[in-house]
Amino acid sequence: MNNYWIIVDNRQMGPLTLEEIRRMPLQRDTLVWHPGLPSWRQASFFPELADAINRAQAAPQPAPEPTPAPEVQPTPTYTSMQQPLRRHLHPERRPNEPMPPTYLAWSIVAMLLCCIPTGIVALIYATKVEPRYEGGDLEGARKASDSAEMWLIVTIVAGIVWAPFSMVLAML
Amino acid sequence: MTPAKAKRGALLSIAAIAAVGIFLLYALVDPATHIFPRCMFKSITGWDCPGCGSQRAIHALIHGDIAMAWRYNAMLVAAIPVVTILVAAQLMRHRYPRLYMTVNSRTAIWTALIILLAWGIARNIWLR
Repeated sequence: MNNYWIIVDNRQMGPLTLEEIRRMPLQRDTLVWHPGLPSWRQASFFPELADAINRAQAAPQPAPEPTPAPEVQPTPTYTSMQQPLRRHLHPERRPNEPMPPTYLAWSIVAMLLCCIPTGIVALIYATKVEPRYEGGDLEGARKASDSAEMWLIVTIVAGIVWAPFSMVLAML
Repeated sequence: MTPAKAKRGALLSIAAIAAVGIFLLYALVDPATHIFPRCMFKSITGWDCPGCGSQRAIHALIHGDIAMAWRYNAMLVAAIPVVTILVAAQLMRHRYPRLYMTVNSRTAIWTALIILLAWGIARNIWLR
C-alpha cells in the first residue's frame, strides 16, 4: 500500500504511502494513480481517500472526467536504485542522484591502522550522509560526504607521517 | 580516455603496487621482532588504542595463524568479514540497493563507531 502517485500544482510526486497521500491537499478531482491502474483517476475514485478529501472544495458543479495527458503518465523507474527507497516529497529533488559515499569501510580501516581521533570525526560525518539524503537534503548529504572524505584523508596522512617518525623514536 | 579517468587509473595503479608491497613486507617480516611503526595513541597516553597489535595480527593472519592474530587484536580479525561485506555492498550497490543503504545508514555507522570505541576501552580494562 505504498505506491500512490499524485499531481499537485502540476507537479507529479510519488511514490507515497497511503498515510502520506492522505496528508496531501486532496480535492475531489485531484489526479491520483497507483500501479495497476491504466490511467490517472480523480481522488474521489479511491475509497481509501474518501474521508481525506477536502470537504470545502465540494462545489456543486460536476467534475469532468480528466483525460490523462501523455506527459503526466507516471513512469516509476523501479530499475533505478533509488526509487524503492526514497520518498519524493520534494519534487525539485532530482530522483536519479545516487547517495554520496560514506567512506565507511575506508574509515574503519584507517581508524584502526592510522589515527583514532580523526577517524572518529570521519565516521561522525559519515553518519550524517544517509539521514540527510533520505530527507531530501542532497546538498547536505554531499557536504557530509565531502567532510567524511576529508577527515579520512587526514587520518591516512597522519598515519603515513607518524609511521617513520615512530620508527626513529623506537630506535633511539 | 578522459583526464579524470587517466588520473583515476594512475592512482589505482599506485595503490595496487603499494598494497602488494605492503603485503609482502608484512608477510616476510615479523613486526614483533623488528622495528615497525608504533601506535601514536599508545606513545602519548600509554593506553592501547582499538588498532594496537594490528600489524602483528596481519603478519599472523598472512601465515594462517588466526588464533595468534586474535590475541594481538581480536577486533581487527572480527572486522575483516564486516569490511568485506561493506566493500561488497559498495560494489553491488546497484544490484542490492537496500543492503547498501542499510550498511551505510546512520544506525549502522554509529553501531560500528560505538563497538570500536567500546573495544578500545574494554581492552585496556579487562585484557591488560
